[in-house]
Amino acid sequence: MGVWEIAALSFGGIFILMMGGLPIALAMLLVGLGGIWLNISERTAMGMIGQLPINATMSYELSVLPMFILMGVFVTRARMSEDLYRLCHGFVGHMRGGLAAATILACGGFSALSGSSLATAATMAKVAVPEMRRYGYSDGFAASSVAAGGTLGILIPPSVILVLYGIATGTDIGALFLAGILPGLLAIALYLAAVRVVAQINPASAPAAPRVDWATRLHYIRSVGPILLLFLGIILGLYQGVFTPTEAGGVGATGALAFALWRRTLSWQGFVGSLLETVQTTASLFLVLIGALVFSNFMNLIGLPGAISDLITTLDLGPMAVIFVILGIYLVLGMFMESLSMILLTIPIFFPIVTHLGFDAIWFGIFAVMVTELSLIPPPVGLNLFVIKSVIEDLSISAVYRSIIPFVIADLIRIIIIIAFPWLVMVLPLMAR
Amino acid sequence: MNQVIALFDRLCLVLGWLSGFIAAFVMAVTFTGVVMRYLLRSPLMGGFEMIEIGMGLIVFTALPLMVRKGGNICVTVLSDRFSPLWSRITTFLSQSVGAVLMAFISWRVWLQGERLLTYNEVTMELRVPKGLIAQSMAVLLMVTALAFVFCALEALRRSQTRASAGTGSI
Repeated sequence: MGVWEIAALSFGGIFILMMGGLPIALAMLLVGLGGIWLNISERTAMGMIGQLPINATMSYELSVLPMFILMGVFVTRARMSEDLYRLCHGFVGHMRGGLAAATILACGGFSALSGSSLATAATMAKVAVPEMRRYGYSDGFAASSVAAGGTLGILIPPSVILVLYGIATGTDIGALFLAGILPGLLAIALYLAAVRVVAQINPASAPAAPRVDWATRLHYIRSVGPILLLFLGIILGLYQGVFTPTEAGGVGATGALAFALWRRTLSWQGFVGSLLETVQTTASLFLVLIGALVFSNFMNLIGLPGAISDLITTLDLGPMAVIFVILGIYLVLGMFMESLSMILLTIPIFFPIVTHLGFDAIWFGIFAVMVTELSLIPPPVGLNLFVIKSVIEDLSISAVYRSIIPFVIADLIRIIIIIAFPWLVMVLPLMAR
Repeated sequence: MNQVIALFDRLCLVLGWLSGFIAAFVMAVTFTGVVMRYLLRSPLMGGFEMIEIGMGLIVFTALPLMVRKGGNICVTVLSDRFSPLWSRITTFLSQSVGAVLMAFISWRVWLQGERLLTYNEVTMELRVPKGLIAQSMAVLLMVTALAFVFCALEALRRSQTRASAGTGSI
């Protein structure tokens, strides 16, 4: 069999196994290991699988992952989501569509402390949806704004997916974090514009709440001040080269722990529970990472990246055409798969192509995360919607389908802006170098 | 059988606690390292290696609990629509595949550990034998394989499968 047949069979195999319910880590391990065994040699497969789990896990750089997960868990336990929402509500809630705008802003703030979209959506749904319902917001619009805001979790640093992308491709994680800031702010701005448009078209679905006085606003600022300072400290530390990403994670987790203890929201059981939650998530992510590394090695060993480069040269495709093909593939895959699976499964193919074509690895990381974010909100996968549904049980998912469209359009506009103006991604990492 | 599973779950929980405290230790070492470097002008001796070894142990000690709690990341767009019988069969098969894979990897990692012990390989600063670390990982991987076996057995016994979707997703 040639390279293309082996690659097609392997991807097809993984796809079928995943759809059949096999965890993605096991599907990639099985196909990657089996593929190396059959196509390269038994000795290579045996040797690699003995070393890879040790080398992949015993890594200083990788400790950034549990540290930022721990930080997010501590911040959640400190009930920061409620305070963040109150703060944003206080400033913009009195406008038409203001509570949805407050939700987007609070999600953006929470994303700066948590690296997970689902955690952001689940946490903010508990706070924001009941409040929006109280003021007469339609269920669809309320849930859509949380689902869209939740996607900021994997773009605004710290981001679990950007860490995994950095590890899988050898890209600087600190630079990836810095690169996510401006696109993250752009995402917030475009989501706010989407909220504004919906509120103008259908005012009844997004009424205004009473205005909050300045004394109360200042009180709200004081309640979230320390943790926002912690985030700013981490980002500035990364930007100035004071911390490595791992150290930033350690300092962030320690700061978040101190914050939760100061607010008296963390009991001993809560502390142990936070640790357990963190290590289980870490273990789950590392198993996927090990699977992805085995599969990626398999693709490299059969020579797929070289074959694709040759094909692109033969077809005489321009770099932008390739990027749009990748965008199309991600949009189709997003109908069936969630973001992490998509990124780790496609990186072995797409990454060598785009870097060969001259695209920056950091830019492509942000682009890929943004495109896969799209899979988090619209049906049929729309994991964020299902997470919100699990938190707000009487919510009808069908009511959300139409309301999500403005946010999907905002996402598409953002992707086009990032393709047209790549400096938006690159400016902060370049300035920090 | 139920008692064996309950006992095994307790073991997984204890390992999970151990993993959690290693994570807290790694956090403390990282923070102390930064403080010592900037305030005392002296880096923490062996801090880098403590974090590296700690990372490996965090992952492997937490794996059995993660498997038992159904934390593996799955794509459930199709499998959520399976009939109960079909769902039991696919869960049994996928957990069995997990058990075989983990047992196989455990064996290979154990052999790698033996090799490292033969060469007397130790870490640079703390002089911890790398082979012992690898073999600890191999033992924990075997416990993970057992966790998959128990999940497979439970899938056969119960009409409702363990919900593995979503909980571990990002």
